[in-house]
Amino acid sequence: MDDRLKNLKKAMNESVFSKVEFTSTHQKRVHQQLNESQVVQHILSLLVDKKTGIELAQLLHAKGVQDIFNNEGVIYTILHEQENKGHIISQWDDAGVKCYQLTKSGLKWLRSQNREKKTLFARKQQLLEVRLNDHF
Amino acid sequence: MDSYLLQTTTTQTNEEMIDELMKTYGQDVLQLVVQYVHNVTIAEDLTQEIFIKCYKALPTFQQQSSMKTWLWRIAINHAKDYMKSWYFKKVELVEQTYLQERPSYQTVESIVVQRDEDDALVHAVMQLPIKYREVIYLCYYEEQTMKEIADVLQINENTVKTRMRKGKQLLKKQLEEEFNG
Repeated sequence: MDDRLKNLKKAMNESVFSKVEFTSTHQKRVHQQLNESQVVQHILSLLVDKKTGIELAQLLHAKGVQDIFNNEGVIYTILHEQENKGHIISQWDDAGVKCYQLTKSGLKWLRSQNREKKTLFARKQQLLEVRLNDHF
Repeated sequence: MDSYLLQTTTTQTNEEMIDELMKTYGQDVLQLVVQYVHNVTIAEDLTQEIFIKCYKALPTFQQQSSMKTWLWRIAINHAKDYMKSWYFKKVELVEQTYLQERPSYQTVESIVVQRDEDDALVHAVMQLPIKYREVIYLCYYEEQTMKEIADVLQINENTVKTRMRKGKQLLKKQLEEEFNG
C-alpha cells in the first residue's frame, strides 16, 4: 500500500487536480471583496442612527473611505443589497427624502464582523456625530 | 513548514500580506479544499472566502504557529464548516466534477494500465471518510510529517498514526475488491 501511495501526488496532479488552478482572477476577486466588505462595514456602522444617502456620502468622505471617491454610486448599490438582506430598512420622510437605518440583524452582523473592534466603533461613531453636528 | 515568509513580511500592510499568501499558497489551498468538497467551482468560492477570512483574522494572528499552519487551519475549518452546512447536505450536486475527464492521449498499453491503477488509487482515496482521507492527503500529497499533520488538524500525533493505519487498511480493502470484482 505504501508504495502505491507514493504515486498519489503524481496521480492526483494528473487526474483530480489537472483542471484545478488558482489564477490571478481569483486573486483579483478576493481584493474586490475585501474592499467592498470594508465599505459595507463603514456604511452600516454609520447607520446606527437614521440617515439619508447624501448624509452618508458626506460622512464617508469625512472618514476618508477611498473606495467611494469618484464612485459614490456604489453607496446606493450597497444600501440596496443590505436592505434586501434585511441589515437595514429604508423609509421616505416628510421632505420626500429616503432615509436608511440599521436593523437588529444588521447590527448583529456588524458585530460579528468586527468583534474585536466592537467598543471602538461605538466611540468613533459618537465622535463623528459630534463633529458632524458642529459643521452642518 | 516554512515560517520564512512571515519574518520577511512583517513590515507589509495586511493587504500585501494576503497577496503574498495567495501567491505562495493559493494553489495549495485550492487543492486542499477540492480534496474536501470534491467540486472545483465550490472549492474556488471557498478558497476566496478563506483568504478573506484570513485577512480579517490577520490582526489576531499570534505568532505561535507558522503562517502556513495557521492558514491551513482556517482553510480546513472553513471547508468542514461548509460540509456541515444545510446547503451542502440538502442540495445534491448533479455533477461531481472530479475525475470526470481522463486525458485521451495515452496509446501505449503499459501507460494505460499504470494510469488505471493510479486512477483507481485516487478514486479510492477520494472516497475515504474525511478523517482518514485528510491524513492520507496531507501525508502523501503534501508530504507533511506526522507532527505537522497533528498540528494542522489539532489532534494528537498518535491519533494521526491510528487514522493513517486505518485509512490504509480501508484503501487496501477497497482496491482489492475493485481488482477482484
